[in-house]
Amino acid sequence: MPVMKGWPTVIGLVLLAVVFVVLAVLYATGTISFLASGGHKNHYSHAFLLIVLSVLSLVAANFVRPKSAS
Amino acid sequence: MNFWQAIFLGALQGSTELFPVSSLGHAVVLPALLHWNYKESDPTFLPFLVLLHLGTASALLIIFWEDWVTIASGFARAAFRGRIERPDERLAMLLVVGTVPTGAVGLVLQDPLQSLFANPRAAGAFLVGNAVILIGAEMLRRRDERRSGRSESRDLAEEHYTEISGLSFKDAALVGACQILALLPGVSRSGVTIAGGLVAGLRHQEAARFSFLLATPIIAAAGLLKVPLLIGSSVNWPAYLAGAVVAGVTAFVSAKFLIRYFRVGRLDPYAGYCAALGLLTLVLVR
Repeated sequence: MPVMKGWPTVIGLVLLAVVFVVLAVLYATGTISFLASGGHKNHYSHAFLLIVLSVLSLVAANFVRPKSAS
Repeated sequence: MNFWQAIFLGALQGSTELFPVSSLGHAVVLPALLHWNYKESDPTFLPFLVLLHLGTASALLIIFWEDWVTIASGFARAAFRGRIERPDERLAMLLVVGTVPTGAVGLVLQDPLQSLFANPRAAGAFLVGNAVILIGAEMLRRRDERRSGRSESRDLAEEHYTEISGLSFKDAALVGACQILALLPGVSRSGVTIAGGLVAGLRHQEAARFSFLLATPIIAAAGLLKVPLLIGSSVNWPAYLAGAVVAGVTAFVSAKFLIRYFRVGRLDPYAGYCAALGLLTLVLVR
């Protein structure tokens, strides 16, 4: 079914966006700190980057979404 | 840090951030050569760096504000539509492709790499490495010009190369990825991205413009994300703010100069300067 060709990728990218948001919250609240250096508890810069990556994953999902021919 | 040191460091940051000679390398090497006694690891130095970055980013935003309005609206339109239809939308996506992966790697590797190599001798060696990158890119460009039989004047020779709009997404990603090298003190962010742009077939002036557009979000984010550190800091505010203003003014003048210079100019003089400063550091600093 050609119309469904891009949907697995779209779903994967949306799930990735959700994962990024969850990680951003965990970094911002200081629950996790791997891949972060320094003595700070809350890694807002990592959280910010993950939010950016989340938005870009959604944009990428919109790009690969099957579109009507019009 | 006294008032005049702050002014000097502001001017140094504003100019070396955009000239292809490594601001970080200079910030590590010059205090050692001048026997200044402040340390970058000092907690009071971080707010100063934040202000310098904000000053530099402001200058770039002022110079390229029309581009950034176009880029932001182009990104929003393409993102909602899910398709690129116009050159400004393509430019926005080229910048995303060039910036985000590098930003992600940089955020993870910046502190470990800079603490590992933030000593004057390492920075001196990387300055020499930066010179090799710059001269290497120019050698490749000259070879290409010779092979294509382009022996006409410099501005005519440049016409044969492309504008940013002609860059492929793969090339934009590779040019952006060059910025990872600039995490090493002594390797210049603008230097490696201009060199990468030349290898990708951009004109010198377009390579510099793409380099400055790539740098703006990263420099601005580096400053803005650390603004909370400024709150409650008991530092020499007049000196720090004066340093930031000087950094902004110097960055503004530097960017204007470089865009004009690269209409016909090459990277060679900056390669020579980096090699000389790097070697001098390796000889003088023990």
